[in-house]
Amino acid sequence: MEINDLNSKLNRINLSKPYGMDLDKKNTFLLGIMQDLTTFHYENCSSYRNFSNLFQEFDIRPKSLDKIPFLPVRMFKQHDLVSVESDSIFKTLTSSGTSGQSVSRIHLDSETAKRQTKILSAITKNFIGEERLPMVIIDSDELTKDRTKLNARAAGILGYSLFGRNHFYCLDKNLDLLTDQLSEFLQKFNDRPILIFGFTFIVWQSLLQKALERNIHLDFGKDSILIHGGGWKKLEDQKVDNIVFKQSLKEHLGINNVYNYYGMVEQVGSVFMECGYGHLHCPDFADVMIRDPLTLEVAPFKKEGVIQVLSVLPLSYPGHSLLTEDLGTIHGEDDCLCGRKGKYFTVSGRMPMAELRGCSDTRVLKT
Amino acid sequence: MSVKILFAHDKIKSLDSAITHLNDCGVWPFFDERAILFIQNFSSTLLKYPGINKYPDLVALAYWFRRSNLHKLKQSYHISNNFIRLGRGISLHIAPSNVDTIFVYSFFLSLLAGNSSFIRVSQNESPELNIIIKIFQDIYNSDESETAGRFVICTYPHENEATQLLSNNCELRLIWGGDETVQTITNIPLKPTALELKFPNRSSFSAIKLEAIEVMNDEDLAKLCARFYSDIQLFGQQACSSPLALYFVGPSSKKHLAERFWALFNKAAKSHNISSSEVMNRFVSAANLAITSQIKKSRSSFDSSNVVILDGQFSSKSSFREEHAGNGLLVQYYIDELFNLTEYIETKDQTLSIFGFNHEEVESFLYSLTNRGIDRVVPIGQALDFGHIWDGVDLLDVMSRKIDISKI
Repeated sequence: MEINDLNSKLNRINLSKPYGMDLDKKNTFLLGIMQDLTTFHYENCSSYRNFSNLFQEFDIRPKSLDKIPFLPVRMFKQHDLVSVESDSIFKTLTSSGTSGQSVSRIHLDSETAKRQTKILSAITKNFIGEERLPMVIIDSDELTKDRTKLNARAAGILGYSLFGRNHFYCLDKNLDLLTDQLSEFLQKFNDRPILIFGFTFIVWQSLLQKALERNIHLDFGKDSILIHGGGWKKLEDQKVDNIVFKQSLKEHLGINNVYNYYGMVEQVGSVFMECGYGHLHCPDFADVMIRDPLTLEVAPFKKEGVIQVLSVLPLSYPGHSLLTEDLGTIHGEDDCLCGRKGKYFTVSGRMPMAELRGCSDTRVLKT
Repeated sequence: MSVKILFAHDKIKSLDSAITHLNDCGVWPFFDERAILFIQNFSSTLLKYPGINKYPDLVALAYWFRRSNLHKLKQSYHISNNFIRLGRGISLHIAPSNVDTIFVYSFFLSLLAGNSSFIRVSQNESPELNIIIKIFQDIYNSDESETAGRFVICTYPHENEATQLLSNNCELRLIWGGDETVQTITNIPLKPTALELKFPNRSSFSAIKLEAIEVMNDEDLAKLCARFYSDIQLFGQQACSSPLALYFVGPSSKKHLAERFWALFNKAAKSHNISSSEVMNRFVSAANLAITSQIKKSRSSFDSSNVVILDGQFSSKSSFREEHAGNGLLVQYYIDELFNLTEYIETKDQTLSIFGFNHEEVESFLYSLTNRGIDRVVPIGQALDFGHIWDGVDLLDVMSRKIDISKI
């Protein structure tokens, strides 16, 4: 599998209708690309080739999507996995792990990075429309200064920034709300919708809670749109779920359109956006499978299990089929009331951590 | 100071009073009759404890300290007119967080050696620990306070200054735990006269002679498989002496015999069962081994009911030891002769559990070793048994003092 052929094939993917394919069409389309990517990574990444040996029925052109090896996401924390010449890597993304934790390292070549942007754009525009709206970013602009080494949060901000104009970062470097400047910004654009982007926990903590604490009235306007992602773990600890989150933003900040997305630094670009019915949607360029956490076999719809994510994007690194440590449930395919084709699902949380036993209390696998 | 006293003599109210009391207890002779009686009492009470069979590690503990074993142990140290043995003083035992019985082995041996003991157990509560403490309390209450007063069991966070205080006052410190714990505690100074024993992370594996299983009938081979499985199953395969790999030893013409072994092994392991997070950890661990070229392929799926067998590959790293998550994961290798294993032995290797090799073969293999790896060779099925010689150290010998009177 030549990289140039594969690149041009991937560049020809039709991006105009990101949720247009029904089951049959998508299976043919996605399987073809997934076979190419599996072959490509097998031939060009020795680590991936070694990994594929764990699968007894491994085929370099898997016969169906469920036969594609699923690489545990933790591998990107423990190894530098690359499928292209090292001199073509121009950017390395890292996950936003807290200090002390090891982080994922995702190595991108320019072709992969360009397609990430294009696909993110196709998906996002399906939700917010073509127009570039005035944009508030619920974060600090400090984060995105060094663009060659970006963590997941910075990469997300830069990715979504493309859909807005007149960007305003409403937090200072200590993530404290710049109240006056934000009020001014809202005042200035009070006649049209605003695009708001931020990480779920930061939106909750640094925008909503701060505004309530300081008892200041902020109205973003009823047509404004919030896109947020990054996980619910910290909010779960505070007993805040998606429903409470949406309700609070509507009530206190006047934001009616709140879209959560599920995505990860290991598959930047092909995000799973939440529709108005509360379902995360697989675009044509990506898919999810739920695996039984005890057997690692594919589980039926409606059954909760470990989320496996597939994406056409990862070419410079072997990340086209990954086993996450998140739990979720697929609710259906092609028939969500929002009209989008493809599987739709919800995420219910992280897998519980394994308890370690044995005579040495610090024998912990490096994560 | 957030020290919680779990068991101690009534007069002990604080760390300072514990140190004073334990010093006042003085040293006893080696295998003092009072110590032996106390331990026997504990052992027989524990064996009769209601529902004890639910806790195989408690049964093993009680059995290890039964009267006849204590007697045998005592006999193994010969008495001579050239020296007498006495204890050293206060011994400090830092117990591991997850094997609840290790601390009892550690301080009972210290008691037999003639020492008083201060024991720090992990902060995790467990039914095993509660049973042990309850029996000590019962024995203490039924007026056997002289020996029961010779030890104090506490729990407190690792960073607590209690370890510092005790370290400054003890004559013997034993650290059971992971490398990090050992490192942290070693940094705390001891009295100049004090001695220290460290039990850090170790790794263990097994070897089976193919020719030996060739002549076995199915019934006997199935028994061997069951013993091997029990070594793997105990403590989630995460104890220092749990086998992580299996070497089949013999000419390549006999390799097919391994298949027969695995077929019967899978039957012996048919009740294997692990949790979903253990399934994930094990899969991640196998993926690491694969990516780093330490294994060639997997012979099993990663289903929670399987023990996963991976075909190992001798690589320069040859270190299944680091990436191994336990929970039923085995790396298998073929080697022509036991001698060929020598170059793969690492200094942290502890237990080699074997089948089919005779005493001479084991001896000449051990004489061929060139580093400090391998401290224990036992038959398959006994890998997790405790021994008073541990990590190459005769615990009773080191815990006590030999006072030389040979010239008198």
